Amino acid sequence: MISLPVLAEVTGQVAEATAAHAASVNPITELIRGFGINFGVNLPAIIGQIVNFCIVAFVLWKFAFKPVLATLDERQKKIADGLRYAEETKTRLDSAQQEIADTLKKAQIEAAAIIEQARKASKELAEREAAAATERAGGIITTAQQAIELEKQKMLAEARTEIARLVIATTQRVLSKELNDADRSRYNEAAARELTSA
Amino acid sequence: MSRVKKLILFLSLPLTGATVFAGEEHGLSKSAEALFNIGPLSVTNSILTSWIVSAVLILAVRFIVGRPQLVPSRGQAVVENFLDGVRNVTAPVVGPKVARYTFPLLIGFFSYILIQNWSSLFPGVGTVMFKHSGGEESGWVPFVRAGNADLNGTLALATVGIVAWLYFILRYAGPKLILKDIFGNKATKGEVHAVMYYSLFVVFFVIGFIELVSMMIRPISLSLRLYGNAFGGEYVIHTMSGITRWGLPIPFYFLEFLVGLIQALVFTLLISVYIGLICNHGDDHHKEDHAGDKEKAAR
Repeated sequence: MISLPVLAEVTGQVAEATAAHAASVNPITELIRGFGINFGVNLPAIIGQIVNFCIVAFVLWKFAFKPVLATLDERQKKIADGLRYAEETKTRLDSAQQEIADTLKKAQIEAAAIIEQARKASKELAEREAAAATERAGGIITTAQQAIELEKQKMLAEARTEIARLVIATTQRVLSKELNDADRSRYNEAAARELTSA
Repeated sequence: MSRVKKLILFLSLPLTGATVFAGEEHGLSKSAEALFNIGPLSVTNSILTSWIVSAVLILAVRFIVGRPQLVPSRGQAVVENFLDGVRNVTAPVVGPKVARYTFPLLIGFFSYILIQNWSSLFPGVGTVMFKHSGGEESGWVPFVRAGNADLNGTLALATVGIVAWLYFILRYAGPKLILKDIFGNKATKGEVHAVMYYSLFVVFFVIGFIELVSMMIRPISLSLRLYGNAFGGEYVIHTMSGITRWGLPIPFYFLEFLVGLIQALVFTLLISVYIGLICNHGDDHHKEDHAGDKEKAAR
């Protein structure tokens, strides 16, 4: 019931529109005119809105979106660089570790060789030193024996001289007479001979 | 008129197809109402709203972003995701060749239309009235009206879109490719019979004219689609609020929230598609050709 007046209005407007359309000469002009009347379309308003949109789009782009996108791109680049760097570092680390392992292995081999060489050298040295020491000891013993012998001879000579002197002194006391040089020499020689033979 | 009768009337309107006329009964006219004049420009409530919303949009985005940092603030992260999202949606459509150049326009369209659409959901838009006297439209008139609920606004957007489309296709595709794309034979010589192939030249030439007409209709379809949705949404909320202010309009606010987003995306994507149809087309063919050559070479 309620929609009836509305429907009547619709029918009326449609009829009016049809009549207007029939009467119009140029349908496109009529369409534009219709837009103007029904929807308030007018050129200044359109131009105004175009300018408005262009300003908004420009300002947003220039002062907000462009810097943000630049930051976004920069960050993506940094992340990509960071990842690449991490990858490079990992590769470098791997190679470094490999290098370290190689170097260690080489060093171990070298160290073993050096130790072996040193051991050999020290053994040789020890043997050589021992031989030299033995030789030196032999020399020292010989020298000592010679010195002892000399000392012994010297001591014996001194002893003989002393004994001879004692013999003479004793003889002088026993005989209670002063021996002359000839007697002294004879007793000396006799004592020396006796001692030597003894 | 009782509320129940109003509801019945409202529900019967889509059936009778008389929705637009009933809008007038509720005081929501199809055109925006003039507030004051600046020279030849009659500033309507819709234009004023779009100015205010534009200023708020610029200030809000600037405030949210601040000075962009490499380690983003929350606001910057939101804007970044928004930009990246729109770029990921539009870039494959327009093609890699022009994506960089079209993005400033497309993001402008999306953000502007989105915020203008959503502006109708704010309290006060369409409800703060002033007494308009004189002229044909005397009576209570809304002081603020969503920017896209005025055909002038959407026509302006469509005009910018079409002019930009013309610029991009002329700049990055060239007249030769455009003419070939519109009137040229799309059939591949090897795949159809020779007679068929040459007769298809005539067919595609005629189709080219139909295509031209469809291209000329684009600004109308773009602007009317957006206007229809924005105005329709406002109208629905207006009517629902007229029936009862409590509760009933709420679901429609959610609906309009969704419609606003979808329409912004539709408008942006359609412009992208129009650009991509000409600019992206050629690259694909080249790629396909190269791929075909490679396949042949492989065989």
